[in-house]
Amino acid sequence: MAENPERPTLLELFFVFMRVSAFTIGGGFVMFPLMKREVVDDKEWISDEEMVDYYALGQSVPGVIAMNTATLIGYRKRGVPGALAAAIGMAAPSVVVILLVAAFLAPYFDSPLVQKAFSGIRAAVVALIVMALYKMAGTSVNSVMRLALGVGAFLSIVALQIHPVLVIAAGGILGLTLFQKKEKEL
Amino acid sequence: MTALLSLFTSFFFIGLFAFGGGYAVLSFLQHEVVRKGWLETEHFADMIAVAQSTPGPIAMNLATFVGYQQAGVGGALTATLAVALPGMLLMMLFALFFFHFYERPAVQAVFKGLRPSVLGLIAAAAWQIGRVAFVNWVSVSIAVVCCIIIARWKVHPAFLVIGSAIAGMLFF
Repeated sequence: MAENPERPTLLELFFVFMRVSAFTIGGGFVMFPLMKREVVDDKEWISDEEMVDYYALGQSVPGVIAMNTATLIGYRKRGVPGALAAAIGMAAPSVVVILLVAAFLAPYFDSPLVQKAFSGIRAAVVALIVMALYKMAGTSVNSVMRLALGVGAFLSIVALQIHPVLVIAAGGILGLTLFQKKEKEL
Repeated sequence: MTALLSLFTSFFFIGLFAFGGGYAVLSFLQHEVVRKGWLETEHFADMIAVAQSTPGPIAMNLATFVGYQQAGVGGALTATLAVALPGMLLMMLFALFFFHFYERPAVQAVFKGLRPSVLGLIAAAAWQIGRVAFVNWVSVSIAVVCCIIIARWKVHPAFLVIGSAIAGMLFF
């Protein structure tokens, strides 16, 4: 297919983010592996590092993380129209599915079969996130210092319940103080 | 019309001040829902369950759900737009300047620190889901099989999600 990774069509942006949204249950970081797969591996619109950077930015402004990240990637590729196409794609499955659920399916939601399906999905979600992390770690966690930053961020959330925005801010400040000098030497 | 305006202002406010996505939105929303008398407590719990177990961002699902219950399809669209708008506007405003500075050494140094931190956050999300997800050998097996499949073949995650749903229905 003659697709241009530098300038995807608006329709492509819409459908890619619609797919990501439609197949992720849980939002936010759960979307990371799917979005990476579509946007980095399949479409090659952005690099591994950019993907992580955009997620950091999506997390750093208020609102819906996945939506913010989609907006940024859409904007990066096609300006404001691209941002809107990506954002509408991200919102479409939510709106359609929730409307259907609210209108017709609410009574069936507690059924054992549906609950069993969700139990299976939750397990798969953990596997997806862990494997995406494993693949990303090669480029983003390539020194002891950066590993310590990652582990520190993990523990700040899991053990200390620090707000994610503060963890991101601390990571950025530490990056600036630790890595800028080295960058100049290179 | 008043209902739509009330939904818009509430969800715009939530979108503007809720840092940290879905779960942060949840606490803001609870506050608004109680203040405006939109839902009873047990319905609020049901709504959270629905938002967490349907596709799409959780905050988005919550907005659509509350909007629909308050003012039908128009309400759903209004609330969804309102919750997404502040982040989108800020992101685009940010993007106007951001890409000009992205290659600068200082900015790259910041991101060298940010990237491991974000991966740490994502690992924390996996940990928190894992604590709920791994209830017996079935869930552990599903996760292990998924890991092996991802490591060996290029399978789209959607197939793994669908496959695990079927496995869940069969074996749980």
